[in-house]
Amino acid sequence: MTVEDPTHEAVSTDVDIESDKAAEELLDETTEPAFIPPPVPRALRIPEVLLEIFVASTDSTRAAAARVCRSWSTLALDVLWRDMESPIPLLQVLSPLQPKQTPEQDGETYEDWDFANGLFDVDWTRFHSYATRIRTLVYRLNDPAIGSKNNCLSPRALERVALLYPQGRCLVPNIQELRCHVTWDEAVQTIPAFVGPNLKTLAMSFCTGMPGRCLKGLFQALVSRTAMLDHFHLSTDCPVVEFEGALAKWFESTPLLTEAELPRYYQTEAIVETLGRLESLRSLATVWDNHLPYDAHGVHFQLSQDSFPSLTNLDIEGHLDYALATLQTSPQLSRIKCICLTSYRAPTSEEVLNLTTALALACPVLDVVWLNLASEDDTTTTEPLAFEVFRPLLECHQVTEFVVGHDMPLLLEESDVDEMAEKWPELKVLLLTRDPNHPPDNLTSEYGLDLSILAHMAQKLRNLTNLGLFLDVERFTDFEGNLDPPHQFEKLIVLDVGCSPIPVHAVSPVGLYLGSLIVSPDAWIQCSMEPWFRGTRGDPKFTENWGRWYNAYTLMNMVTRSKVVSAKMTGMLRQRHQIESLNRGGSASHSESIPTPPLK
Amino acid sequence: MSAAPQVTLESSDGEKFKVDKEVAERSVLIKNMIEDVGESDNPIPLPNVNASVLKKVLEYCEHHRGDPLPAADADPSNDDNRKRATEISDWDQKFIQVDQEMLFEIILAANYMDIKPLLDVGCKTVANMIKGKTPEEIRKLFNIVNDFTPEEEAQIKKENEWAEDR
Repeated sequence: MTVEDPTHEAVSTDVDIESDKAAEELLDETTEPAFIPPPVPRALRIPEVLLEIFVASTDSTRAAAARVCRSWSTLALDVLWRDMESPIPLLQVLSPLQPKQTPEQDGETYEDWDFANGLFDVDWTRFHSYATRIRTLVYRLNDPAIGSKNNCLSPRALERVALLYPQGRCLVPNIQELRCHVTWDEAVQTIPAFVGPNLKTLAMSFCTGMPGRCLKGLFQALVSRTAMLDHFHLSTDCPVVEFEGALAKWFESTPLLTEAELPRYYQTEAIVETLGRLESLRSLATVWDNHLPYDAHGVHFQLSQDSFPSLTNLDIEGHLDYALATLQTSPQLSRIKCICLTSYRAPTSEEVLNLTTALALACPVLDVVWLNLASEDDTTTTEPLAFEVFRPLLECHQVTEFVVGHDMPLLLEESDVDEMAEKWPELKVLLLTRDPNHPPDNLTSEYGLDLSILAHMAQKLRNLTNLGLFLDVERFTDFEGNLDPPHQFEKLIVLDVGCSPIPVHAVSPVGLYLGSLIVSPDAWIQCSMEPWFRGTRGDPKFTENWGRWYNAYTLMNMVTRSKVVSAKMTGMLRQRHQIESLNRGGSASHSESIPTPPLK
Repeated sequence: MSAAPQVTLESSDGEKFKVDKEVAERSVLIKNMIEDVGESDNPIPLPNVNASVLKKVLEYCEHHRGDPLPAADADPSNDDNRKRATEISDWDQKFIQVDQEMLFEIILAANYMDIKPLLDVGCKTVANMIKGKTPEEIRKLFNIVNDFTPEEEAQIKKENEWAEDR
């Protein structure tokens, strides 16, 4: 099948090279007879060592190594072809691909790549030797293997290969992980061509508006073809009702599934019932990256007596009364370690108290507690919550993560911190608000915590690695000359702070103080670039406030970063900024140095 | 004050090295041997490692004595391990600045004594040595004989061209 190279032809007819050994002997004779070539290092004759070298190499080095000699080739190609970002190199083993048509989808044109030649006389053995090496594969629009323009692999090209491949209907027989991002209808039906019998991870995301019939057809085609599946991830905005039956039926054929991540509003009766029968399922999670329209009626989470025998991680979303009913009637929830609960509307304090009471009773071994208590679907104003309503959870002594996703920050007293430290000695993650970097419109200083609580937290909650909260520095007066916090966070990696407008005299001290709270050189302070002061771009008051905060923020991170260079730097920086700040009358802000504030 | 428990290792050329047990146990081979045989004063023979190499290997183990042990089931071709960066820490970088012969001796010893992090450092160093080189340059570097026909080599090149600028 290979094309004969005329130059090589001439050489090979002159001397008949029977084997490599013969070639070596020949070489020895023609060169100096006394010269014995130094041997190949012994380490390079051990396959495990070669494999390690190729694992540590780049793709181009692997490609070069594949041409060095036969023993290197096999191992280098094993490593090179193991994780593929595109199916195109594999198809190009058969025949070159070229752009053929430009189908239009959603007003955009795409280059549709198909085989340049027919597949009559192709080398399936070589194709097979590469295909069987692939363990993970990405299949998507805008494939990097064919340039940066809008492009796609023609579904027809794939269909033809799948039809002709002598080894069966799966093109990558040993695949273990498939990730696809499919954006046009036709391509959905080609996904099964990449699904092999040993597939462990299947992650699929579909474009906006993917018709339900396509997904229905896909899951019907996948039934009984993924018996080894361990992890499933689905992201789509297609309402579940359009293919619920097919999806549930497919789940029945995935007996080893341990983790399922489904879009929002996919916890319907049929789906939950089927998943509940899977004996290995440990985690049922929600995918947040798509924007399905709010559809509370689709959600009906209920656990029956014997369902979910292995479940330890659970995302529940829906109305709080559903969640409450589930918690109060499901004995098997006592094994749940990790719960994420999302309410469709902001609950009252009383409702939250009922919920946390039920939660503490139903799930005594809780480790991770995420409560999203104010859904973005809800537009009514939310009331701030007091720590009081979460107190029942203190009975779950194994809590390591406590996250309250609520628009109004949770107000904490020092005594609450003391209690938390006593009851949750292993607490690592504490977030007191939904997103410190995007404060709600109606937030005022009274909802911010005083700067001094941070040092108290540092003293008591010694295992914290992540902390998120709102601070009020508007009332900040002075540290009385002492910029060193009395205690530091020994293990904190991320400090996420939202902050009130910062008075001009407080810029340097607050920045230095926050920066000095952190010990780890790997730590980072994330800080709202949007202080509570509302205004528009161009408004000098806004620019000034934003600029002050920016300077304080830069200072914090300089102090934190400087620990990487040397611990001494911290002291130097502090001294320098103290002096500068004195010289400027307490302000570190310069209007010229202020970057453009973000548009609201 | 009692000293840390020690063990004696014997190189292929008969030299004995007395080291802390914790240091010697960076080698999974030695760790398993001690577990199987129990502690004794007899030296542990390492017939595949000579004294100059063993000295170097023990220098590495001494420096990394406190490091967390890697997972036992780490498969070199496995996904996470694959994605490891090719960077080597400063100390390791200095440590591995040896001639090619010694480098391969260290790799052999690390492979035989089952010291995964040291094997990694060695293999990463070789990976850096061959980076950007043509197949012919690699063959020259390690005295490897090309057993491909030009056609075979050309075909492999064509089928793997997609990887060349990555």
